[in-house]
Amino acid sequence: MSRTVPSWLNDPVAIVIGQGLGVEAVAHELAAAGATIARGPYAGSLDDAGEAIDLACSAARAPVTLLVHGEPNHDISEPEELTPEMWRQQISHGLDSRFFYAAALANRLFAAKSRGSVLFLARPWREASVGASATGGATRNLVQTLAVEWARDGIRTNAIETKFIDGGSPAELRSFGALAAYLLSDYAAYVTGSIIGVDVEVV
Amino acid sequence: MENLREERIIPPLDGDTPFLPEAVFSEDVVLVTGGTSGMGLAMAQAFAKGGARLILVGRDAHRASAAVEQIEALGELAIGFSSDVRHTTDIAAAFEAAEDAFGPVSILANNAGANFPVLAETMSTNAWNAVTRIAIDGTFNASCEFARRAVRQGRGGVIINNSAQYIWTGFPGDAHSAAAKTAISTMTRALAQKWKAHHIRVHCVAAGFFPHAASTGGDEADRRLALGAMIPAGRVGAMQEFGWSAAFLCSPFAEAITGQTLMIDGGESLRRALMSPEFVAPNQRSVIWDYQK
Repeated sequence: MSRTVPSWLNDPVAIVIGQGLGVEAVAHELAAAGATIARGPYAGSLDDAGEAIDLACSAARAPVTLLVHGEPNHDISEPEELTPEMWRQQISHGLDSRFFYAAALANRLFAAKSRGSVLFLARPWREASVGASATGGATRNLVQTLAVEWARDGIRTNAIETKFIDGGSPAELRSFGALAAYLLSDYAAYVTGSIIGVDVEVV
Repeated sequence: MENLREERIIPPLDGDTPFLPEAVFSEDVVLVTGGTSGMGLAMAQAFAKGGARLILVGRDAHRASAAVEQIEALGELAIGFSSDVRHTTDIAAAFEAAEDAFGPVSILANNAGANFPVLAETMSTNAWNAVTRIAIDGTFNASCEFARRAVRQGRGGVIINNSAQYIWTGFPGDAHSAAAKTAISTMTRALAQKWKAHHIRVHCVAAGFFPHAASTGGDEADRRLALGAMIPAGRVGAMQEFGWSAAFLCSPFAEAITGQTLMIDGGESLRRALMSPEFVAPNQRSVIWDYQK
């Protein structure tokens, strides 16, 4: 049996934000499933996110319909040692950028009367640093809110919450990527607003 | 009822759309409790499409033979077995029958369940027991029988449990099932942790509205449309979508995934508004599960 998932995705363009072994594993599996992968930087505004999406559309010569947004590196500093700039960057990359990309993509999908799917990758908030626990909790409720707001527009939003965002064994990373591909595919068309993990050891 | 933005609703893929590789479950023997109709049969069909051999456990022998015919029509082997998941001897007998027919069970799907609306203050002991013991005890009994055999035989396996979309919110008029279905999800996590060292993965799928021939009005197109209009996704779930979710989690593609609950409800459990219709207490409603007085 192939070690990558079947062609579950019908040649979409996916924009992937973030770095790390887990995000790379997801991008790899999405490509195996049939997606064209574009990369984008963390966005500080709706305009920034929109520009990155438009750039990806131009490069791929097709509209972006899938968004995968990861998380910045885990900052393990003690809370009282974080400078205001460090704190703000964690929130900006771990939360604000998620919303800006999702909203910018949704607006483009609305305009094109097209369907799409959003997937947030996050660390388990109970195990995370203070910044990641704040953005992780926020991400949980954001994904559920966006799911309800956009379900009737054919846009699904889901989240995978896992420690494997920072890496794992080959099997763990393959499963993480396969779960992402499944959730983004139309086989999971009835899954929206879901938050799922990978392993029981994470909480 | 007008279904807003009908043209944007994501339709389900056709049930014959290839999903997993054809032989993905060809080495597997799958036992499905409550597997002779509805959601259990949908899971059974998804496994059969991957080449699995099936044991369909239910309490109705006639329904079991009809279900076996449906699996055989997919070109796979199946047997029906009459059993009550509340009784450990029945469960053990089902596993014995499975082993005799096809070999050790490698995937267990716990789907047996029952539900009916009833006010908590008028619920009888029998009513409470009927729902909770099938769902909680039945899932526990079958899971332990599966794990004992798997550990003794030195092989791993996968368990998939069927839960419901109201597990994190409660559901008025459904005290028995609300408690039972959440127990299934939380037990999923505990058993996954306990049995991880034995390479047994345990999953849960929490489903919303998936009408089927055996559910009330499930085969009526008008009712399906009315139900769909209530749901953020704009439609009810299609059985093949439920089957795919179970099959994915039990497949080798999910080999490192365990202890999770996947909500598959079209956003139904998240629907709310700041302003809602007047709250009518369940014991003042004309129909317990509706809002009307």
